[in-house]
Amino acid sequence: MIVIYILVLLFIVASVCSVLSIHKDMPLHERTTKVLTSIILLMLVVIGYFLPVYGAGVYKIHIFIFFYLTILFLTLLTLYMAVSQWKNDYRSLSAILIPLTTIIAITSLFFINSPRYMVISADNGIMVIHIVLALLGEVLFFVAFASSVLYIVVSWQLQKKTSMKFINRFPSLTVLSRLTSFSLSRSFFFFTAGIIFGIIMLYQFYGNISSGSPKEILMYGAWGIIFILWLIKRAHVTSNYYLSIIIIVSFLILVIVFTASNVVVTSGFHSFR
Amino acid sequence: MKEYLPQIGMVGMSHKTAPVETRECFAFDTGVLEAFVTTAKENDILEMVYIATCNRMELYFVSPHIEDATQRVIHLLEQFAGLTRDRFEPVLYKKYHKEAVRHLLCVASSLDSMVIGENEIVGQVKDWYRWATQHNTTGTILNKLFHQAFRTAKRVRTETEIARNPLSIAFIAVELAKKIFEDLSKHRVLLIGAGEMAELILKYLTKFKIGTVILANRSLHNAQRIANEINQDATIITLAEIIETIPRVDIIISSAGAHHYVLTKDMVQEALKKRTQPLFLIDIAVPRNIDPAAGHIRDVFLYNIDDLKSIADENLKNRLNETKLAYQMIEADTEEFLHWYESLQIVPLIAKIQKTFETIRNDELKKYRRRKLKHLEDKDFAIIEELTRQIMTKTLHIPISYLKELGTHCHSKEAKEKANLLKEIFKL
Repeated sequence: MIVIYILVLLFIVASVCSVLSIHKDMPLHERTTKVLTSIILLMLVVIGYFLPVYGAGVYKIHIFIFFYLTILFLTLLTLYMAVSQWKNDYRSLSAILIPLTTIIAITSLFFINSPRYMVISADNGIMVIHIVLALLGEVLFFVAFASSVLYIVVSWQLQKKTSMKFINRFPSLTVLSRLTSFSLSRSFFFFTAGIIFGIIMLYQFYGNISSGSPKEILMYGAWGIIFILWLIKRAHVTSNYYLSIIIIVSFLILVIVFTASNVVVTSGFHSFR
Repeated sequence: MKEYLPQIGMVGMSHKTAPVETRECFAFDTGVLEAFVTTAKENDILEMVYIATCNRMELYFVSPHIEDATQRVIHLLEQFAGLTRDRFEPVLYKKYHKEAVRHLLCVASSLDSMVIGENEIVGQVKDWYRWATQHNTTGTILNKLFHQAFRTAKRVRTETEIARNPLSIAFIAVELAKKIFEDLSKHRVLLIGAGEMAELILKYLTKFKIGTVILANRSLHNAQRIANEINQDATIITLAEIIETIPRVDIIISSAGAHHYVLTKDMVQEALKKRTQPLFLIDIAVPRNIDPAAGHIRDVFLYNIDDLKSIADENLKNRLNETKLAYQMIEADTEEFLHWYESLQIVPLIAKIQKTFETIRNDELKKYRRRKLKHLEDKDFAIIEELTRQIMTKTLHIPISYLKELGTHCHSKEAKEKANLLKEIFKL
């Protein structure tokens, strides 16, 4: 328990450093952010090892584990940014990804002792694949949201025509548009694969391809939104600016609906029965 | 301890103190400079680095008697530049010790440049330092000082924003284009008209390998001239063809001598229906060629000459704000260098102690070689020689480490007393 609080504290410090790296433009803050993110990842791996997932031939997955996996994937993705084709823009991307991950980490604290869980057979490998793929899809949609926010910020700054001091700390509009495209396409791919595995699993264990749970409906809704956004991006239907706004709005609606449904529907919600 | 240590000094003139007619007299060519440093060496100047750029001439030197050396250097300048002393001495600045160190760090960090934050100066200082090392005119002190200056310049450049944001209008336009499109090689630029500033921006864009250039001009002859000047393949179109070209280009630079808007908001809006990429419009013309209302369209970035000028002013203001931080870095690095420099005062004492022990060791070995060890073969005696050297080195290791530590506080009274005591003990 104390380790999780330390982890959240580290997230807060890393967030401050990542925002400072943009605000103060000092390499020291960027280095500290990378070091802290690496430490966080190590801690997440250690925490994951001790999470009570397996017991008496079944997986008992608490709602906290979903938060844990989301945070883990986002942290991995943030570190991936530091070594991949996006490394030149790591500073500004981390300045938005880490604080948002921190918000999720803080939110997760309220669910540590939540009694809501689901039980699946330990033989059921498909369930794990379904969860991992769907979460990866969600996390990448989160990245598309982050890059869209940055696109709007840079666009506003360029139209304000003030000093270049601020603009220079952010990636170019083309890079941000490319990142949105990159994360949307991968989000769509993982989400689709996640849903397919979910359907297979349901069919195998319940002989049905749908459980009709609110979360399942929400997942299909999210998939539909990501699919439409991906199509808009591919077909160049609208300008990057308006697409960014559509992505931001869609993401926020999904988050609000997801959070609200989790709060309002306390029983019979997907597998957390 | 101080009497052992040569001093650092500098003389120079810059755009701040001397007119170009005076400065140019001191821009020596290589032959003259070689003769100059040779004569300087003969005049008790132990180390010397000459720096000449279009904005300054400076001489950094090391000598045991720095004020006399300065007079000799000025005399040499008089001789080699062919100017009488009274014509250049009033514009000459002289700095010693800490002031000289701090000045070099400021120069290398471009804080003393005409355009604060410019990048060329550190390269020029490096070139002159290289010349000096190739001609063996540097030694321990100036080598350390110049390396410190290069480190400080790098720190100032990377840890402050002093050199980050451009000041020239043309360069700002290119930087903005890069902030929108990143890789310019995949994008197209349309130049309308042929103003001087617009051509300069186009030249900068071609320098950064802009993909395609399209020139629209009333006079085909003018368009052809620009195409030849930028040294890149360009498509030449007439002004009437602009409307159908706009959707295909990403950057438009307008500088036509028209008294009406060449590009209206409707034209830009219509073009945007056929594209999803942003559009960067630069309106350099006065009166303006592009309807300002076009700048309110999303994903259209319209900058006129005043916008670019105000960014240049803002960038300059930011640079000046950053100088405070840069001066703090220079102050800290100057202190760090002086700390090292002061520690040199202990070096002669260490050398004397080592020499005394070495003399004793050699004398004793020779004595034993002649008498008690004369039966030994050379290779066996070499082992004994090595053994005694090792014993001496290890014996002296702790006291020498202590002396080096003492050297870093050598201006304190206590350190001076300890050093004097050591001299007495070893009769140095």
